[in-house]
Amino acid sequence: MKDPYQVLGITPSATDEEVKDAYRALVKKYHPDKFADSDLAELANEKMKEVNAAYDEIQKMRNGGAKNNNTYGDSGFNPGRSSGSEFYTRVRQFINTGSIFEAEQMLVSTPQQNRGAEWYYLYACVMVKKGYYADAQRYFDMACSLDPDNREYQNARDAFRTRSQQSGTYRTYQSNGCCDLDCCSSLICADCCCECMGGDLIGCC
Amino acid sequence: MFGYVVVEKPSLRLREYDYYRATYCGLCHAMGKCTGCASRLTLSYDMTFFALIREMLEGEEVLFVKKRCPRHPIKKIETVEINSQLEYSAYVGGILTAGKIEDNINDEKGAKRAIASFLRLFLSKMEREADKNLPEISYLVEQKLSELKEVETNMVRSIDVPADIFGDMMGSLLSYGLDGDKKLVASNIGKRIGRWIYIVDAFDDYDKDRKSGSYNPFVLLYDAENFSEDNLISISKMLEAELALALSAIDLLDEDSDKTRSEIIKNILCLGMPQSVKKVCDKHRKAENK
Repeated sequence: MKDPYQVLGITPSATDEEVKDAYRALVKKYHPDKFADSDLAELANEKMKEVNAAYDEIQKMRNGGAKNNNTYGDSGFNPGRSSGSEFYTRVRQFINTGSIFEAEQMLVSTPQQNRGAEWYYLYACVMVKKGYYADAQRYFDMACSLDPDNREYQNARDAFRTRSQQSGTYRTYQSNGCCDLDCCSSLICADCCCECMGGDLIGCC
Repeated sequence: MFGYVVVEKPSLRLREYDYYRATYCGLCHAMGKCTGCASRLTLSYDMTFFALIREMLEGEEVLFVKKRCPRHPIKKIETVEINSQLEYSAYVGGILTAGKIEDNINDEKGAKRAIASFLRLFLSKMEREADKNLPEISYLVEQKLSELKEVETNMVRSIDVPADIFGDMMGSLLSYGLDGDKKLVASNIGKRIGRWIYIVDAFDDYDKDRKSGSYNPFVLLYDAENFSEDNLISISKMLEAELALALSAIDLLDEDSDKTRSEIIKNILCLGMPQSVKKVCDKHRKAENK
């Protein structure tokens, strides 16, 4: 097994707080919510396991075996059981079992005039699974506007919105460059430069 | 190619700027070597980014050398020594440019068509060399472009359908020759960036395509004189999400040993590309206020 400190990208001399920070940063990085419905989910999950194991290991080493339980579930967009027709129940089954193609085929074959709120909702779920997020957003909206009182549709739409907003926020671009020169030393520098050229910035030196 | 994938220069450190420039020069030299002198004129920032990502994926250790070139005949300029990733990028760039020229010959009329025909002749060596060296890539691009063509002729009312085709193409180009997890990550990065490029390009060309009647999913979905502020915000959010997904995918790679390179890539994804979106949004806002 890899050195747990290396996995977290820190040295054994790190303080408990630093360990926690490094761990939190990595959990954020590999969080399953960011990879839900993506073929990267498995890879992210593996990384997450590695990080969890490393963190547990360090905790164990440091305070004699306090177990830390982190379970992160997958939050895909799986529609629940339908109260409606046989047809939609089957579509839901297909979506839940991952047979996206079949679900899409069934939905597409529905004639335009028979498409109700549930149709748009399920079609949106299919779009999410395919990674067609822009279309998914439109269809969730349509489902909600056709049946504004339905909790299921609303919840799904809100969850989808929050998720795309979460993944849409950039981490701020960090530039830990060389601006550590404090203000005084820069002034002194400036003064020296001026003096070279025969002028003076700070009168007394 | 499109010119949306750029660095945000004010936020680059000097060493990052030098590195970026050297890669740009290195790619130009690679193009001269692989696809002929004429093809060097088609050098782009997009392909420089492509080369940087490929280098990152392969963990390429770049060497710097001073070289003279026709554009800088007097002074020797620091460039990245030609490596296999730069060569690959040169060929891919050649294939994509040739595809685009072909497209213009088929679609445009009059002067534009004449220019495209001339370019094809002028760049015939580039096309020949690229096709010869990477036949499977050339075939793949041809396939994907014809899929796009079909979407265009059928006037498909979806942003995602054409964007996905373009994304898949970029995914395959970026992950070519890799295997295992790296391939998976690379094709995800490529897919997101490809989708982003397609969407921004369509978003940018909205007014032009609306007038000329060319296929543009935004025209079909939003058909109005201008975008409303809400539309602009939701489109920006959608594009941001693509970039965020690309960044998440990059996070799954082992950290690049070349810090300067990974900082440049972050600069492009977090600052340069959003800046391009902002420019397009501002353009649409201006059009509305007129």
